[in-house]
Amino acid sequence: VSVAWQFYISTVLIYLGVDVIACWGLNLQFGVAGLVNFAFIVFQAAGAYTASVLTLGPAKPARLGGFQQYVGGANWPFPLPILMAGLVGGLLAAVVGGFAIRRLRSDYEAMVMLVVSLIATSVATNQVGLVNGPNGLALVPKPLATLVSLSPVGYQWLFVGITAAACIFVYWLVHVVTSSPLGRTLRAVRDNEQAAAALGKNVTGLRMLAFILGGVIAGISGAILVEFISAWSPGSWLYPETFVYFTAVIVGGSGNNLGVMVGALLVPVAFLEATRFLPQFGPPGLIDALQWIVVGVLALLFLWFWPRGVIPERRRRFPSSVRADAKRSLMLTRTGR
Amino acid sequence: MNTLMPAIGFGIVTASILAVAGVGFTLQFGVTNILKFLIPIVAVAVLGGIGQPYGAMLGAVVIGLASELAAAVISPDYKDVVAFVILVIVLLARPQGILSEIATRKEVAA
Repeated sequence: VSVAWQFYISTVLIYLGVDVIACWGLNLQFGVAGLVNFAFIVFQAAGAYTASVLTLGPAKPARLGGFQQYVGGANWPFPLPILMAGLVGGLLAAVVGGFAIRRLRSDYEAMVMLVVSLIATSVATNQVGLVNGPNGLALVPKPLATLVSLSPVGYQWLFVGITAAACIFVYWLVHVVTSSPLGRTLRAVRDNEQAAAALGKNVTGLRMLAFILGGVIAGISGAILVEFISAWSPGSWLYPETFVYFTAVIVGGSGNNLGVMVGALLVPVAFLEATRFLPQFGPPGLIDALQWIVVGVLALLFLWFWPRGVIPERRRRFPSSVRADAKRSLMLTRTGR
Repeated sequence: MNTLMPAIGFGIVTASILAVAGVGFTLQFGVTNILKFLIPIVAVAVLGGIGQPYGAMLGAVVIGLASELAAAVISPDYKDVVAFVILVIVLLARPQGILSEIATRKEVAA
């Protein structure tokens, strides 16, 4: 395999890893807990900004050759900025969830999320001192680049390894959550909020928990993305980006971690990468514009014809012996034993 | 079938009204960047109270004045942010809108 192809394949693999992590986070919120988070990209962006500010070092004033201004620059060693990005994503989710999902019906909640996304973009663009405004942050140092002496291609593969490790960690996290009694309760809240509340489940607390966990995962995905592409600006997290992730989750099979992984492979990666190899036609930028249309049409088609996705969520069945046991123990408690 | 025909009818009427609004906007400003107006329009409808024509008019006045005054007082960059923040606050504090009698609080807030 030639060096150019190795570059291309490793880059696509890293993008795939980032998208898979982000889709798992969104799936935890949307697929498992039923939260329509149209502000998902904001949490990814928060993680990305955190990681880049924490690796860029303190901001230099313009007279010393500094060309970007931001708050709270630091020079942390490699894994810490990514972990901190997860923490910031979770904190932001706690703040947003604190006012948005505490008391609103789900369609109004979705609208508030969309508006939060627009407000965040506007603030990050106009408040230039915060994260360098519309120009964004650039020249973020790559992790471990000064410690290891590798060829550019070798470093690419090292980064694929870092991304894969993050994928494995996040998969472990979402698997533990979704396959535990907690995941079962979250699905119960999603399917029938009133019934879950009647059984004494803290519906708001559970939804907040899923929202914050999703925010943490989104922050981690943004951090890995920015450490790789080493630049981040408001243009890279406009609100339509959220809908690409939503399409991926819906196409893959919302509620199913493996299905969502397939969705991330199909929609943001395979689908958008394949257009690179199309011959150019029409005015420049036409293919890019058509991508958005086709992603939207894809989401509509799947919602209409195949709402459960490519790999549907497993229908949970409980063996009759378990049910009989439960019944017996229930009767025993009733009779006072 | 009972609900489909009125739904289509309302769709046609809404689209016609919006088309008139779009023509007016384009005649006045000469550009068609309606996308920026989608969320403020929703803000206006929610602020006035969904299903309330006079509420929508009042909401349009309030949102329009608030965002233009914000442009004068704070900075023109935060015009949209002010409209969005008003939308969020209204959704949280008075989800039935300022003039609504139909929608009750219970329907909107969980």
